[in-house]
Amino acid sequence: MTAPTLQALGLRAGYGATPILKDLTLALPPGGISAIVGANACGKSTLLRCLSRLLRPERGQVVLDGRSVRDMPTRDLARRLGLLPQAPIAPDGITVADLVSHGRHPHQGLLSRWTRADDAAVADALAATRTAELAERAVDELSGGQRQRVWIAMALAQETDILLLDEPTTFLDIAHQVEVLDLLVDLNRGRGTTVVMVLHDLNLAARYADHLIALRDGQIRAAGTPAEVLTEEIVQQVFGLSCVVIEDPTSGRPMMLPRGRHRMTQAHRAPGRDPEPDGTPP
Amino acid sequence: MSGALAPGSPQAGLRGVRHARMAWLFVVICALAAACLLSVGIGTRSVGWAEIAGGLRGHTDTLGHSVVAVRVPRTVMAVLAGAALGLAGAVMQGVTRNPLADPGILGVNAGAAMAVVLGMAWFGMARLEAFLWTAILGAGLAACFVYAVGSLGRGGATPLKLALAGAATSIAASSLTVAVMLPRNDIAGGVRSWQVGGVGGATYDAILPCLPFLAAGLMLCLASARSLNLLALGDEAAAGLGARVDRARAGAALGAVLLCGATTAICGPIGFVGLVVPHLCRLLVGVDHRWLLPFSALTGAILLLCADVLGRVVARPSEMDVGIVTAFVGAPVFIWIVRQRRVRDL
Ligand SMILES: Nc1ncnc2c1ncn2[C@@H]1O[C@H](COP(=O)(O)OP(=O)(O)OP(=O)(O)O)[C@@H](O)[C@H]1O
Ligand SMILES: [Mg+2]
Repeated sequence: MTAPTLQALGLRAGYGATPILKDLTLALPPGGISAIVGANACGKSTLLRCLSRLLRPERGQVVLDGRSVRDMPTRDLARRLGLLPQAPIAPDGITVADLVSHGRHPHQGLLSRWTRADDAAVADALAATRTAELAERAVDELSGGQRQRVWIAMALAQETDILLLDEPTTFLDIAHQVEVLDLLVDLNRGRGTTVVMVLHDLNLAARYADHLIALRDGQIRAAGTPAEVLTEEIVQQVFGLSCVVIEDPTSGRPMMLPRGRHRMTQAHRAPGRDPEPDGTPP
Repeated sequence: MSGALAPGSPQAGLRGVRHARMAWLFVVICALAAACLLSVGIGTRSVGWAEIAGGLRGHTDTLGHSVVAVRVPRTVMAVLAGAALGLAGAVMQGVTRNPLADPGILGVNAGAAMAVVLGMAWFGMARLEAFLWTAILGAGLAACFVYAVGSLGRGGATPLKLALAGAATSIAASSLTVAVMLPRNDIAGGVRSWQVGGVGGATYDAILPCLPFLAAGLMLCLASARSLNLLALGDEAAAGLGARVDRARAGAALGAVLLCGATTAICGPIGFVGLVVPHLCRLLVGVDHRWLLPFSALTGAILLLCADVLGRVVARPSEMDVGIVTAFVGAPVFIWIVRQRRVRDL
C-alpha cells in the first residue's frame, strides 16, 4: 500500500463573514506524523475540519491522492480518513464497547452483518489503548483521561490510512500523554497510518512528530522538521512568547523552555522589563 | 485476536447484553398480546372468551359479539397509534439529541392540529381522508419551518436551536388554533373532542387510509437506526464516521412527521407517549437505536392500549378519552424519569 497524500490547496474557510483560514496551502507527508501547533483560536481545529470535509471551504480544496475530497463518497472517505474531534459527545449511558464499535461503521454495508474482522478491530483498539477492562462500563462514568483513551480506541477501530486527532492528549496525565503518543507512533510504524494531530505541548510535538506545522492567524507561519520550526524566533512570532530552545537530551530533538516574567535566573531575565528575583519591580 | 472468547472479554459481555435484550423482547411481545386481549375483553360491558372468539370470527348476532366487533378496530387503532407515537418520539429524541424532545417539542403535533382545525373552520372539512392529508401537511410544514428557523445562523441545526424553534412554533400554532376556534361555536364541540385525543371512534374505514403513511414512516424510521446511533456522537464525529448528517437527520425527521401526522389526524394530539416510552425502553435495552426503535414502537402500543382500557374502566359507565389518561399516567412517570436519570444539558 502506498501512503496516501493529503493536501490543502489555497484554503479559505470560516464560519461567517470573516475567514478563519486565509489562503492556506499545505501538504502532509505521506506515511508520516505531523503535528499542528499554534495559539488558541488560530484555526487549528478549523483546518482539521476542512481536511476531513466537515467544513466546506469558501475557496480552495482538499485533495486526497489527487482527488478532491468533495467528490468522494462519504463512506469511502470515512474508510480512509478518521477524525477525533476536540470535544466529542458520548451518548448518555453508552458502554465503552458500544462506542468503540461505532468506529466500524464505515466498514459495514447497508445490510452487512458484524463480522469477525469487526470484532478483531474493536478488540485490538481496546487492547492498544488499554481500555479492554473498561469495555462494559458506561462512558459517562469514566474519568476524563479514561474517556479520552476510549475515543482514541474508537478512532483506531476505524482503521483508516489517515488519522486526524484534535488535541488527543487533553485530560491525560503526563504518563498517559506519552503512552498515547507512543501508541500513535506504533500505529504509524506498524500499519503505515499517516497521523496528523493538533498538540499544545510543543516539546512533545517536536519529539513525536516528523513534521511540524506552525499556524498563526489562519496562515502557516512555518512548516518543516522540528529543528526547522521549533526555534526561538518562530515561537516568538506564533505565540508571542520568549523562550530558550535547547536540545532534548532524551530524544535529540529541540525542546523549548518558556521565559516568563518571574522566576528567571539573571541570565534569562529581560532587563528593564522583568522584576528582580526578590520581587522588586524593574 | 478474536479466537476463543474468555468469559470476561468484551465480546462475551456484548453477548450477555444481547441475551438480555432478547429476553426483554419476549417479555414485551407477550405484554403486547395480553394488552390486546384486555382491550378486546374489557370495557363498559365485559365479554367472555366465547364472545371474543365469536366476535373475532365476524359474528354480530349477540350484543357481546358486536361489542367485540367494535373493539377490534379500536384495539388495532390503539396499537398503531401507540407504536407510531413511541417510535416517533424515540426518533425525534435521536434527531435532536435532546432527551426531552417528543413530537410535541418539535412543533409537529401542534402543526398537525392547527392544520386540521383550520381545515374544519375555514373549509368545513369533516372527512377523515381530508384530516389525514391536512394533518400530515401541517406536521410537515411545522417540521420544515422549525428546521429552517433552527438552522439559521452559525453551526446549522443544532439540537438546542431546534428545540427552541420547536417550542416557539408549538406555542404559536396552539395560540392560532385557539384564536380560530374561539369565535366558532359551531365547530368548537367537534374540535374539542378531537383535540383531547381518542381511539374510541376508530373503524377500519378510518384506519385503512392512514396505513400507507404509517408504513412509510415506519420504514424511514427503522432504516435510520444506524444513522441515529452515529448522530448521537455529535455531528462532527458522525460525519467523520461516514454519516451524511443532514440527510440522515432529514430522513429520520420525515419518517417521524409521517407517523405523527397520520396519528394526529385520526386520534387528535396524544401527548406523553413519545416522551415517556423511549426513556423506559432505554432503561430496558440501552441506547442502541437498532433495539431502541422497535422496542419504543412495541412499548408505545402497550402503553396506549393500557391507557385506553384504563379510560374505559375508571369512568364506567362512560369512558375517558385516551389522551387524558396518557397525560395522567405519563406525567408522573415523566417526573420520575427526570428524577431518576441525569438528564443531560442541551
Ligand atoms: N462553530 C463555530 N462557529 C463560529 N465560529 C467558530 C466555530 N468554531 C470556531 N470558531 C471560531 O474560529 C476561530 C478558530 O477556531 P478554532 O477552533 O479553529 O481554533 P483552534 O486553533 O482549534 O483553537 P484551540 O487551540 O482553542 O482549540 C475562533 O475565533 C473561533 O471563535
Ligand atoms: Mg481547537
